[in-house]
Order: sequence, then C-alpha cells, then structure tokens
Amino acid sequence: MKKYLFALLCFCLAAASSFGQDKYTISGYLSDAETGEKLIGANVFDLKSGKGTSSNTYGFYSLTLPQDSVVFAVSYIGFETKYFKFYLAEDVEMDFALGGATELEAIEVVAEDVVKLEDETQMSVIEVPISQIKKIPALLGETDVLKALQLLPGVQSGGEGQSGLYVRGGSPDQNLILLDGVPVYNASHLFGFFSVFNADAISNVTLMKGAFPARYGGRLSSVIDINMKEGNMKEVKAVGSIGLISSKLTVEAPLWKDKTSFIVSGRRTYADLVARPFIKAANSDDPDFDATPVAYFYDLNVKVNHIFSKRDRLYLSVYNGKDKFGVKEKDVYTDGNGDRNESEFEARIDWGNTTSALRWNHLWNDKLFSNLTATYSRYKFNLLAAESDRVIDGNDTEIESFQAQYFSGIYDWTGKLDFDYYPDPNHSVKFGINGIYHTFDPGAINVAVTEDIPLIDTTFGSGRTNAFEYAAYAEDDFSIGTSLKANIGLHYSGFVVENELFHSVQPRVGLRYLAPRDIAIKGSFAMMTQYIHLLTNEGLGLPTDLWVPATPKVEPEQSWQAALGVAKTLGKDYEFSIEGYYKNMTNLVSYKPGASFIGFSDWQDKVASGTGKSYGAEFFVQKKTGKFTGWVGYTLSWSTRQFENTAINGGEEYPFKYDRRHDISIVTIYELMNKESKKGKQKTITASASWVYGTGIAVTLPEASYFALDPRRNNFDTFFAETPESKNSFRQGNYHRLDVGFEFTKQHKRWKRIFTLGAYNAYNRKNPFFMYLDNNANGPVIKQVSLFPVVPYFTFGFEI
Amino acid sequence: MKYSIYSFLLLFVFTFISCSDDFFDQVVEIDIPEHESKLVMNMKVDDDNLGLNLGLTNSVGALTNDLPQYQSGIVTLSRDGVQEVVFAPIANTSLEDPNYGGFLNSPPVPGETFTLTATSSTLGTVTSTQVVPAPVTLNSVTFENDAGVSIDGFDVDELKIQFDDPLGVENYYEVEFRLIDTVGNWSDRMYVWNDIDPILVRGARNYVISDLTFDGQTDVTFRFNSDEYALDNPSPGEGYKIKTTLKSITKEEYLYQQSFRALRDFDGNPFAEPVVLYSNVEGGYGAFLMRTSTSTFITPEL
Repeated sequence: MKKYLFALLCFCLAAASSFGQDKYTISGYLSDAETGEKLIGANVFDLKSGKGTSSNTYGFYSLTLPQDSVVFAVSYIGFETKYFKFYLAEDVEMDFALGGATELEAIEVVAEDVVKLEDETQMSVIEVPISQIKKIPALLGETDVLKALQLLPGVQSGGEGQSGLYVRGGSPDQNLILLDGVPVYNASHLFGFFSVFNADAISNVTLMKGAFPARYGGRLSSVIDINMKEGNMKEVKAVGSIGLISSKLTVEAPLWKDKTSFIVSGRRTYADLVARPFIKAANSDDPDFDATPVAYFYDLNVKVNHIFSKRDRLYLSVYNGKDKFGVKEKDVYTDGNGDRNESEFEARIDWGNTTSALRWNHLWNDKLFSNLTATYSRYKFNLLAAESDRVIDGNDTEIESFQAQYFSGIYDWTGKLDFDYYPDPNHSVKFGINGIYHTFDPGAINVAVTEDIPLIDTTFGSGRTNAFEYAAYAEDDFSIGTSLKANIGLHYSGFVVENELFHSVQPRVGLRYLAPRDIAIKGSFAMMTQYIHLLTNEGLGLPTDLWVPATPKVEPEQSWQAALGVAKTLGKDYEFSIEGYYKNMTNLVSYKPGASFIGFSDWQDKVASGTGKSYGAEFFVQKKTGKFTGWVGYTLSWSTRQFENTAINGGEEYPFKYDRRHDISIVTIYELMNKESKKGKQKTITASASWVYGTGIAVTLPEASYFALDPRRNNFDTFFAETPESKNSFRQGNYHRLDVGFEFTKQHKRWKRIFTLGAYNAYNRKNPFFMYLDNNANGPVIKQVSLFPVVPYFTFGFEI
Repeated sequence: MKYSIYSFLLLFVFTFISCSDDFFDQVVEIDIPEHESKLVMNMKVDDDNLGLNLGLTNSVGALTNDLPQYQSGIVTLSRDGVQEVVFAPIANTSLEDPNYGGFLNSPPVPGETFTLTATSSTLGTVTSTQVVPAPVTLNSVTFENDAGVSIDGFDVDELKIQFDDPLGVENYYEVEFRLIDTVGNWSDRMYVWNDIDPILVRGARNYVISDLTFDGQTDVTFRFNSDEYALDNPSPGEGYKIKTTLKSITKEEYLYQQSFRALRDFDGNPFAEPVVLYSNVEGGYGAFLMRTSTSTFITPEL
C-alpha cells in the first residue's frame, strides 16, 4: 500500500513541479457552432511547439505554453480543422466553435491532421462517431448503439440479434455502461434485441476494452461511456422517425439562448397496439372472451443544462425506460350447474431502468476544472402470474385466486467529485472520489393464495441487502521527452456489506513509445475489482438475471489485464492498430449445475466461484472521414472458465460459451451522392453495408447415455443417465450475416426528409440461435433454430 | 433517381436469391459427430465390506434409441500395484444390477492405492484409481429438540457434529443421519438441512464437505436442522436412536455426488445450467469410489 501511495505522490509532485514562470495558459470550451453542443475529445494543438490536448467530457480544454507566437489547430471528427495564429503573452480564455464563424482570424492550412492515433497514450479504446452509427444498417431499421459496438474487434454479441456485449472474453455484467456517468444495469429492450439507448439523444460513445484509466472502476472487462446531447443552445430543432416497430421524436431548444437549453427524446414501440384489433377479431365468435396483449417498450431521455457563468454550469439529465410483455385474458361462461363463472388470467414480465444525474461543472482557474455529481439509478424486474376464478351461484360467490410474483432490483445513490488539472502541456492530471450506496433486492418469490380462507401470503428467497461502495483515484497522462508518453494512475476502492469490508488497490499503467516512421508501440496493465455480480444462466438473455452484491460467502470479482500493441495512421485517413491481450479473472460466479433463478433458497447457495482467462489478438483498420468511411476488424481469441472443486465440468477448465476463435467484421458507408438540385435543395444518398463472420460459439449438448452409479444406495445400484462429455464441448455452426442499407435525404425549405431502407441478413443465412434435443421417427435429433430470415426495413424520418 | 432505383433493385435481388422452399423454415436438423461407444465401469467399495460388485456396460449415443448392454471382458483390481481380484461374471438380467463380482483379501487400509481395470475385446481398456481415504473420528454428536425456528415458523431440531480434520491433506467427507426405532426395529434416513454454511454442499444424500477452508482444525463443528415427525410425536413405548455416519470420501466422490445431485435438480428445468455427470474412469465412463466410515449412536432426549 505504501509503495502505491509513494508512486502516486511522485507523479503528483512531478506534475506540480513543471510550472514555469514564462508560461501562459489558453483555456476554454469547444463547441459545435451550429448547435452550441460541447465537443468531447476534440483536439487542440499548437503546431509550433508540438504540444496539444483534448477537451474533456464537458468540452473544456486547457493548454499551457511558453510565451511565444502559437499556431493553434482545433480539430474534431466530422468538422473541418481550423487554425489560428496569435501571440501568447498572458493567460487567455478562448472558446472555439467549430463548423461556424470563428472569433479569431483564420490562417491558411499549414498541416494535415494534427492529432493522430499514434499520438495518444491510450490503447484498447475505440470511438465510433454517432453519425456513423446511425448509418449502419440495423435490425428493423432501429439504430442501436450497442449493436454497432458489437461490430468492433474484441466485442461479441450474445446471440442472434442480442444487444449484450462480451468484451475480450468477459461477460455482460463486467461492462460498466455509463449514461452521462450513471451506471445502467440492464441496457436491453425486448429481451435483448434492442438496447435502451436512443441514438437521436446520444452525442458520443466510447468503448474501452482494456488499459483502463484510473478514473474508471467497478467492472472487469470494459467501460462504455455514453453521453447524451445537451440540447441546442441556438435554435429549436426536432428530429423524428417512424419505423416498423417504433417511432421516435427528439426536440431540443434553447430556453435562454446561449445560456439554457434542453433536449427531450422519446421512443415507443407499438406492436401491441397493432396486434390488439387482430386478436379481438380472431376471438369475435366468443364475445365473453377477451384477450389483451401487452407488449411494448419505451424510453424517455430528458436533459437540461444552464450556463451560470464562464466558470459554472449545471446539468440535469434523466432517463427512464421500461419493457412490459404479457397477456390478460378474461372469460365469462355458465357451467353445467347453471353457475356463472368469471375467470381472469394475467401473465406479465416487466423491467426497466431509471437514471438521473445532477452535475455541476466549476472552473476554479484556467488549469483546474471540477465536476460534482449526484446520481440515482434504479433497475427493477418483475414477473407475475395471477389467476382468479369467481363462481356465482345465486347469492353466493366463491372466489379462488392464486398469484405468484418474482421480483428483483438494484437501486444506487451516488455522489462523485472529479477534478481535471492541466499544470502544463506535458501533464494532464485527473483525480477524484466517489461513493455509491447500493440497495439490492436479489430475487424473491411471493405467493398469495385465497380460497375462502384468510389470505396466505408468503415471501421466499433473499432479503434486501444494503452496501456502500467508495473509490478514490488519481492519474496523470504525461510525456517524457518526445517519444515516450505514459498514463499512470491508481484506483483505490472499497465495499462494505454485511459488516464486512472489502477493498482493493488497483494500479493502472499505459505507455506509448513513438518509434521511427511514426509507429506507436503501446502497452498497458490494469487491475480491476468488481463488487457486484450478475447471476445469469448461460445462453438465456433474460432480464431474470440477478444483480447481487459481493458478500463474505461470494467475494468480489477481480482481474488483471495486460496488452501490447502497435498503432499507426496510414496515409491521411486510415487508422490501423493491432493489439494482443491477456486477461485473468478470479472470483467469477456461476450458477451451480442444475441451479437457476427459480427456487426458494438464497442465491448464495446456488452459485459457485471460479476463475477465467482470455487472450487473443485484435486487428483494426478504421476510416472516420471522407465519402467512404467504415472499418475492418478481426479478432483471434480464446476464453475459458474453471470452477475448481465444484460439479461444474468436474472442476476442470472448459471453453467459455462465447469462446469464438475467429471474428471478422467489415463495415462500409459510402456517400453515393451529395448534390444540390436546380431548386437549391441538398440531396444525399448513402449506401452502407456490414458483414460479420464468426466461428461457432461453444454449447453443451447431451452426448452419451449410460447406466451410472447411484450413490444414494448402500448396495450397488445404477440409474440411466444422459450427459454431455464435458461442458461446452460442441460448437455451433459458423455465423455470418450481411446487412445492407440506404439512406436518402432531401433538404426542403423548412425541413429535411430522411428515408432509409435496407435488409438485415440480406442473403438469408440461417444462423444458429439455439439448439435443442428433439425426437423424430428415427429417434432423438439435434435441431438448430434460427431466428431472423432476411428482414427488410424502412423508416421515414425528418429533421426540422 | 438512378441510385434510388439501383438501391431498390439490389434489395429485391437479395430477397429473391434468398428465397427457397424452406425460406421460412428456421428450424433445421443438424448433424453432430456420432458417439463412439465406450466402456462404462461402476463400483463402490466400503471399508467394512470385502464383497465387491461391479457393473460393466457400454455407453450409447444420446441421440440414438439404442440401449446399453452388459459387456464382457477381463476385470481386475490391484492393490498398490499388485493384482488382488479377478472379477467373475454374475448372471443378472437387469442392467441396473452388477454383472461382475469378487472379494478383497483384506479390508482396504487408508493410503493404499486401488486400480480397477476392465478390458473388452471390442471397446478397449478403461482404468480408474482410488486412494483409500483415512477415516476420521467423530468427537461428538449432539441432538437438541426444538432448538430453533424454521423460515416458515415451525420448531426445528438441531444435530451438531464435531470432529478433528487431519492437517496437510485434502479431505472430503459425507455426513449422514439415520433414525432407528429400537422398538419397532425400523430405520430411515433423516432429512436434514443447513442453508447457511457454504462449506456444506448438498450431495446425493445429505451433505458432502471439503476441508479446503478448515484444513487441520480441531473440533470442526457443523450444525444441521431436522424436523422428524417421529421425534416430535413419540408414541408411548417407542425408543429412538440416531446413527450418525461420517464418511471419508475421495475428491472424486465429492465431485461425483455434486454432479449427481445437480443432474437430479436439472431434470425438467429449462432455465437450469446443463450438467456434466462426473466420471473418474479413464477411457470410458462411470465411477469407482472408495470410502471409509465412522459411525456413532446417540439417544435423543425428547
């Protein structure tokens, strides 16, 4: 512990010691000139000194340079790079708005791109512009942020159409999915076929697969940092679309121009509304029978932000989303005794997330920026089956009812204080503290029976558990000479539950060496600790998965990951990287064989703890700008699990279900046309295609039948057993799929029309979804079920 | 306009070329590698019984309608590398019964290594090895009537056992309680439970325990709850004893019992994790288990 603190102190001192008397600081905010939206991760670079920085999550930048003339370049993907020349003789605040008029005199372009992949210390990070995500063809035309991430190397989907992410051999619970800094526990709608993120409300998505900076913690495998738009500060804007399964509408506007803005974005599916009349028509011959399907999801994003002054800004963002599926039936009939019977039945499954965040940005001076955040996050799941029968015999009424309900949830209150400190161009320091108060409802069954007797009501399962998680971190991204850069940090966290304290110190190191020919060699090491577990049955992407805390019986999950890679920008636009990684995980949890979320016992009795490891290599080429954009990714990987001393595969190591040896994805987006008509209307046509190929994932199938020893008997006795040879010993068939899409836009005088059409699984590949044992005339057979044939889609959208 | 037409055409082409007779059929039969039949060898040996019963059958593919058959071959058991038993065939017709038998020359001694080998002319050779676990002495067993209250509000009894765990070796145990009616002369296994202690793992019957977390400790204590109707409602003139058996089992049996239990739990539950039945027979399937037992009797005070 002491050596960690010493290291922390050293690099803080190093940071502080680099102050210079003749240096001045340029600081300010970077924004989109058209909307006022802050630009995250935009680059600010002095071409003369070769020093630069990038804007933080709130668009703030700070760069300290010697007194001299500077040639300032400000760049961001999708915007034209702008250059400014001025003499720096005092601390100055400069806000830059890209894509519009500038405050300073622009000079001629003196260089091509200014910040390249090889300039950055960070590795294992991929940013996909949201504009690119929106153009990728999607199932039923429903743009999906998480499914776009599945097309990146090192990331896999859980199954056909699923939005779950398996990053570098990790499981979905090991992803820290942050929406405006608030964890989202279940990021899926419609049993995982869509994610909860409405792309119209999103401004920025970043995926980190490793090399985690010290500011992140709490999960083992990835960080997915998603930021909502802030709302247009300049004018009223509306974006909407009508699709096959849902419609969306987003409105953003200034409440007080350049001071206060808001954005409201909503989405709802309407399959149930469409189905209702058909179901009624189908039952029209029985007027006393009524069946009402309930099948929808919605989400609503709201964000308001207000600029109090150049130094203070307040944000309030709220997300609420819910899924509800089920059926209600009502039947009235007269039985043989002439009694009137009224029967009602309801089966329902519903779940949803709510997140809210209130944050205050404060600029203490031109080098120190802080963010104080209070957040609330809630995830609830509910499964209900209820039946009620009323028998009316003259004046007597007999009522029999039965209701079984299974419910679980997790509720978090969080406080965070984060600082960004820019002492000089060679150092970018981040430090902060946070605390989370968790409340877990880890699954309970409630049964109520009424039968002319007092209500019998009993609740089984695990009780409510409270826990407190806290963390402190510090990191410095700094340069040592011209070739070596490092990001070194320390993350300390603790977890108090059931009067037990767990804590861990997690060092994080990232290094970049710039070799000749501008080839960056990058390496990283990161330790992570996760204090919450997700109990899930492999292969079932159901919301029945339970979030539970680490406990003295089931300790926190831990991992370390080391990665080594090479990065280079090829030509003007092509970013190339290749990385190898090794990840080791301990205290992973799994249901014991035969166990499931159904049952009356405590969850802790149903799980086993084990280890996992994954390793592999990833190849990635990406082009983010120009008429032709997209990427090619290839992953070669191995991932295993082992639960020693348990019945899970006899304690032996076995392939993780999503151990996929080869994974290829190709995404292309091409602007076929961009021209102005004779009437002055701008028209564009964009074609896009994505193709994925993956070797089969591991499955467990019964293989052998034999008479096995029955250990319950004192004497020799056997029973007929059917068993797999070992866990996950079979492989599903290879998966490949082509999606194609076209987007047609036309700018009218007051509005823009957007029409998209395309096809998911364009060549109708029967990809494996799951396999099961069935019987036909010749005996048992294995059948493979595919989910989606070719699924065409179209949507109509508009922008005002 | 030109591009719009191309786009629509392209989509139609994709749609039509993918049409076939089974276009909407999303369920297809798939071939998996054919199961190669192997020898299945089952035997368990208790330290208090010199008689041996062994079943030698074969495995069949789970995807066939075939049934296993008795297999004939040469079956031997060696003690510390010296062949001691050559099994003789037993005429049985039910595949649930053994088809080979034999006798040990003397009781198994802790630490001895027994190797069981079966060779069939058609299915090759299978082997399995067990090292006889050392018996452990029960320091004490106590019974307390109505010692606590269950989750549903009923009074429950408590059985407490204490024993010393040998230091430095991996030990595995099975605990079993049996209620004996000393007058009526019947006995039955007692249903006991402990849902709190994670070291206690439900096995095929009662509990199995690994000493990984209490290696070398003295007076290791485990508590179990029970709710025996006969003990709660004793009839005049009846007398009861509780037989507590602490078996030292091998790691292989510890894993086998867990997987056996899991297989039972898995039955019919589509949400449950699939179960691989543990086998310690090299080259085939089955289980060869050796255990030593210590028993003690107490008379419960009611």
